[in-house]
Amino acid sequence: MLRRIPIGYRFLTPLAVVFAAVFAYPFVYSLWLSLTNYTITRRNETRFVGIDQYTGLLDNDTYRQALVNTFVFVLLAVSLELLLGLALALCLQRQRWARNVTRAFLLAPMFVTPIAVGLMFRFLLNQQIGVIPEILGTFGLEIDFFGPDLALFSMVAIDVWQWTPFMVLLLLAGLESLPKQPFEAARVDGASRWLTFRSVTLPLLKPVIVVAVLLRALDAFKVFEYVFAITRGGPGTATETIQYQVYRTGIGFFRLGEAAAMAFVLVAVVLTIVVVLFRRLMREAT
Amino acid sequence: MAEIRVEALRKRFGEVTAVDDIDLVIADGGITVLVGPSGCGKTTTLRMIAGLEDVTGGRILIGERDVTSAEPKDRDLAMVFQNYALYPHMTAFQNMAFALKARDTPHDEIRDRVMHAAELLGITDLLERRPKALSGGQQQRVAIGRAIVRQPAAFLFDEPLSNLDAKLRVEMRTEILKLQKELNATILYVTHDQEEAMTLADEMVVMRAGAIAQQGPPRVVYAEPASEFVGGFVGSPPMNVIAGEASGGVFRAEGLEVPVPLTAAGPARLGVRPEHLRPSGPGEATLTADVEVIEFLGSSGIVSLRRGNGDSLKALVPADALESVLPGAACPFRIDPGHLHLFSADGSARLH
Ligand SMILES: Nc1ncnc2c1ncn2[C@@H]1O[C@H](COP(=O)(O)OP(=O)(O)O)[C@@H](O)[C@H]1O
Ligand SMILES: [Mg+2]
Repeated sequence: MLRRIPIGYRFLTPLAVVFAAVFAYPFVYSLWLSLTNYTITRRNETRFVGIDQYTGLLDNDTYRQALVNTFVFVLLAVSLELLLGLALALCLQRQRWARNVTRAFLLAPMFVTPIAVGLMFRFLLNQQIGVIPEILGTFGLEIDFFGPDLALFSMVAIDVWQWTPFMVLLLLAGLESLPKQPFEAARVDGASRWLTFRSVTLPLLKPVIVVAVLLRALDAFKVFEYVFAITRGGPGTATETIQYQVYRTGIGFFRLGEAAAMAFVLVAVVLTIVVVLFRRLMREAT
Repeated sequence: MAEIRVEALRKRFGEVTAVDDIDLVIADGGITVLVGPSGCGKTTTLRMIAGLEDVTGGRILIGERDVTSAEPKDRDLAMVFQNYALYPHMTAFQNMAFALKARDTPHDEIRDRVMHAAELLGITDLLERRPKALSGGQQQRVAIGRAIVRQPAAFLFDEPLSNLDAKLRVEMRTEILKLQKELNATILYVTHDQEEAMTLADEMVVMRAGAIAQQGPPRVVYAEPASEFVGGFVGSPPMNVIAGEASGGVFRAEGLEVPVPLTAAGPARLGVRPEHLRPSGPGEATLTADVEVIEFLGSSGIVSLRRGNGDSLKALVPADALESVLPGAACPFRIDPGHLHLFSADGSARLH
């Protein structure tokens, strides 16, 4: 039977098998779970509930809050990382001496495991024992970084601290691979720094920016470690993010069916964003 | 428009001296052509004048203004780059408008000037296209358009035609000449192609290894090359050179004697352009040589010759005189005594 399949496809079999085992099966299975009320502790009561879990999420205030938190987090963190990253990349591009050392230092935060970064900031920013609040205290500033108002923004700041270097890395590589000639033409044409940046650098760098933002956004949507290490979603639901809620629902409360539904909603939203962004990029490229 | 003066200009890249003490005057309202083999420092000279490259020494003056360390935008020069250097994300119109936009020109004026330039260059239909959707020749026109919308003090062209096919190159050459007359523009034009240089130049500057080998109107450079290098570089096919000895008003080499001025004495090299080497009757022949091949060009033919001592020569023979020249046969040739070039033994100086 196998003989009737063209040889090229037969070579694909190992990949197809591995793909089915590690991706397709879990994906389809969890999609199925999301349509049932599967709960680890009550497996014999499992029943097919259709899209009830999904419609239920619409009324779930905590879930809605988590969605909003996640989007605010991603939007703020990625925008800040882009702005800072671009500014730093532009500076580094002009740097004349000690380039490699500077770059190595600047990239260091990227190499720390996120859970450690979370723990580090948990102590650095702690209101009682943290160094930073203490220093601010000497200037008479009382700031509770993990209070209800600020906690989410503190998370954003931590993400910016850790992942701006990644932006710098991508954007710097992009900047350095841009053709030199349009920039020389702009100098002869008499364009100011700002006009050159706006009308030449940015448009030429755009594909790199889109890819960098996409990579960072996809990664930021997965934010979990900082929340887990510092606030556990609190105070209240101030830092409750989707990933953390999925973890709590599925692993904490054993409600895997519901957790799967939560995850799929996020996947759908993220995929839509990716497709739209790439479509636009492709259209502009032609 | 203005005159550009370059004094003792010099550029080093580490150990390499790319431009070595160049003095140059680019006359107002004319085309000055820098020509020389690849790597002789033409682009570097042009880029220093444009302000894209710092100078190692010397001065650059535009009109009366010393611009040696001025920013490119303060020099009021327009440049056409070898690979056009168009902005890839802008339409032809935006490319041409950019320099005006940078100078805060009002919208209406930008449109008028771009349209005027586009008409001059015959690219009004292409204004909405991006560079990627344009052929090499069209991109070239846009690049020239980008320069002429500005009415700068002078134009700098860096081998603008070298990426075009032969036919288009000849066409664009004519158009650049017309455009220059129309705008009465001051142009510094760089090329490695001696034919392009001869046809375009009011003043021709032959460069070699970072220095100027000779400077003058094309006719003069062609008729009286200052060195064997210039003689060989300018003109096609290149000048023939025969090593020998001059004494008592005669230049002697193996199997050959020609009269030269009495002043010349000692070892020397005789330069003979291919068109001054003609088939002749045996009586008036200066030399005989074996005909190897004939490349027929239409109105004439290039005849490759080999002399008894192994030297090869080329003769450019009018079509009607080609009949007497037979491949494989030894033929008598005559050197036109009115068009001789005599160089010193090392080829560096012209004796006559
Ligand atoms: N940026 C540079 N760094 C080092 N050497 C260079 C640079 N630009 C040009 N050169 C050298 O300077 C010499 C002249 O180059 P160039 O002006 O480009 O020649 P041309 O335009 O006449 O072909 C060459 O030997 C070239 O290798
Ligand atoms: Mg060059």
